[in-house]
Amino acid sequence: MLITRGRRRRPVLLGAAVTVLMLSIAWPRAFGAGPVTVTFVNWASAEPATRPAILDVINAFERAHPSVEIKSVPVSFSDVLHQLIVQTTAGNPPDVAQIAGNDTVALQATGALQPLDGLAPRAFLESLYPNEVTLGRFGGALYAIPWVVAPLGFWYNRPLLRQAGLNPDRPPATIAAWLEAMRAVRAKDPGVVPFGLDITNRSFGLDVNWPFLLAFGARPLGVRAPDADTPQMRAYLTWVRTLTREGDTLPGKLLGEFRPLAARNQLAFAFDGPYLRGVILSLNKSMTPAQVDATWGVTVLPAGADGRHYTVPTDHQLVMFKAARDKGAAWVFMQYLASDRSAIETYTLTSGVIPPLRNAAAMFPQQMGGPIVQAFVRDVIPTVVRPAWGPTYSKAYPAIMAGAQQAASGNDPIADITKQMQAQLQAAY
Amino acid sequence: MKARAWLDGMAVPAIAILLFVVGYPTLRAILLSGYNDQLLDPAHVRFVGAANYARLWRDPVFWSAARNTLVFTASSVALGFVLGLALAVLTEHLAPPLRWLRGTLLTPWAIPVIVVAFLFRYMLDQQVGIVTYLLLRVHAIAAAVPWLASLRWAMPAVVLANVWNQTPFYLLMFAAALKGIPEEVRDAARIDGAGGWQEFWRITVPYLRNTMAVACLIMVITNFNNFPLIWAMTGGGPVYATTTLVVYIFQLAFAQFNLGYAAAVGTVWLAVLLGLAIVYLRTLQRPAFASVNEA
Repeated sequence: MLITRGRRRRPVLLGAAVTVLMLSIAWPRAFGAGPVTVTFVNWASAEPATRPAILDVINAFERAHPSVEIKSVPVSFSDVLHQLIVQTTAGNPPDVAQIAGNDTVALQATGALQPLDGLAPRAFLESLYPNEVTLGRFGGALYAIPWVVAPLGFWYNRPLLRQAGLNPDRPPATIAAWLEAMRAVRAKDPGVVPFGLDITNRSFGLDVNWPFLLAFGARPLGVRAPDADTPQMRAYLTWVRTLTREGDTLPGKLLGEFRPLAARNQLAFAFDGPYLRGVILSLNKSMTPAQVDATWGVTVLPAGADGRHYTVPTDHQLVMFKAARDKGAAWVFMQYLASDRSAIETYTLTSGVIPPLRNAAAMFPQQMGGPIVQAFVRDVIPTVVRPAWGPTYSKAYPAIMAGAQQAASGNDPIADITKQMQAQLQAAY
Repeated sequence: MKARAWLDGMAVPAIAILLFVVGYPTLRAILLSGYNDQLLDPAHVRFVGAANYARLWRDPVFWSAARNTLVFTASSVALGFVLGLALAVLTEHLAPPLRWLRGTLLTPWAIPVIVVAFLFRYMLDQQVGIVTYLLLRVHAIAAAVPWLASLRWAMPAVVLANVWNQTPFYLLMFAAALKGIPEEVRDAARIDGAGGWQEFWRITVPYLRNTMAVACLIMVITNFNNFPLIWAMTGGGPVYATTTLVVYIFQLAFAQFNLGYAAAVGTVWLAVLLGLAIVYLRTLQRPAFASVNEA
């Protein structure tokens, strides 16, 4: 009898337990008692160098905004576009994402991004560098706001230049003078890598090479048709071949793979963002910030035939997705990352990058007063040009970078490479 | 006599699941291959018939990837097969104190492919790699070679890493099959005066033939699909020197987001793989193979 009664009670108890469990899960959402969750896809929390700082910023934001909870999703820099497009296609996009370069334009082309004009206060937008805001505008609408400003600058190692008999305070100003300087560096110490050129076949690889293409006058992506089979393109590819044949660079390396060499003073020239300073400090614990500033100088990229200097932005931007559940909370978080004083001190400045605020130099005189940051703000930023980013760029970069790799590693005549490149680029239009 | 049911009722759930997880995506991919479907250009998705297949016919990267797939698969399977068989035969009669050696030889199979890829990337590094260092020390090379960035050496380097990782699989398969050879058959051959080499060709190889066919079939399919090793070691480069069909499909679908064309390449790749699978399965069903089992 007892057993029978026990059996009858079990379903009732089980039902009650399930009801309590479901209520406990549903209650906060149903009645708005719990915090709003903002999902944030970013590579800042995927990289060991920046992870502690971004987590500190997120914690500080949550303390200041108890009704908002940030769910940080670490994704590596190289995978972020792929991850975001897969998530968007699957109907599960994040609320906010960190993004850069062509990825922003490509993502905007999918129609997944939320226009920010109605969310961004005018005073906030006016507090930013105007050209940085322009980088986030497509078709007249604002889709991305700048988080950190990071154009690629031309870094030179003063002790290595001095050792090679060159003036350590007068880096080469033209491509021709630079080739001579690299020869001198290599002749003095074959263990030193003269320059770290990234020719990997990825969208970012073409970003890095874009200023060199411009320096040689090459414009492979015309508005209506490709234009790769030109003397200018051949000049650029010949330069790439010269660098690899003469041992001025290591083919096949990612830009980031040259940074350990820079930290060990085994790299004479680098084309990298302002964050290289922080990376060197994190990789070489024996160096002080003052020593890094004394060792490395930054200036504009050597000029080509037209005498002009070029560089590209590798700025990190913030975007919001149309599907964001609470756009107000998402915007508050985005604005906090870009402009809050403590967020800038904790993350932006410690990462060695430049805040997007026009008055940053006045706000942070100590951190922004260093010679490297000063060189970026004074010399490098005015030379920034936006590559021909967009859907065509996404389809075209494999052909251009394959051509660069063919020039670096193969023996085919350069003229044949540009012909092949032109034929492959036709398919991208 | 009761007629044999053409479909066992117990198999229905499994077939239903397979139709859902394999049949539907395959059908969807084949349908997708008839569309211009680019995720970065969602406004212009349209049916284009066989245009993606026509483009594929003219695409030099596709043909280069097809050639690379064959080279990578054939050389990986052939080298792994020969090494695995040799190691299985050589370690078959190890003295008890040396039996740990066979276990040690299986270790590479237990290492995740992605770890193998990075291991070989570091070993083959132009600047700090142990391979370059040793070859320079013994004067086998005059200057450091960028193995993975070289048009000539990238594919051999990737195959080397793959063979190192996969040889233990063949060793395991052949070692198990060797145990299945009856001792009486070996004894009879020896009494008839067969030497070691004759015993190998006339006893060992026929008895292992089924295992060899199955092992090769599995590894051909595995290597046709081998994405992580190549992607992590070379990303398909330099140029397209190590771009296999599966790497090309990934690049088209997830770097250029051209789903329609990627589906067309994937459909061709699937057809080739199915063709190979049918050839091997037919081979297995030949009377000569069945007779070895019966023996």
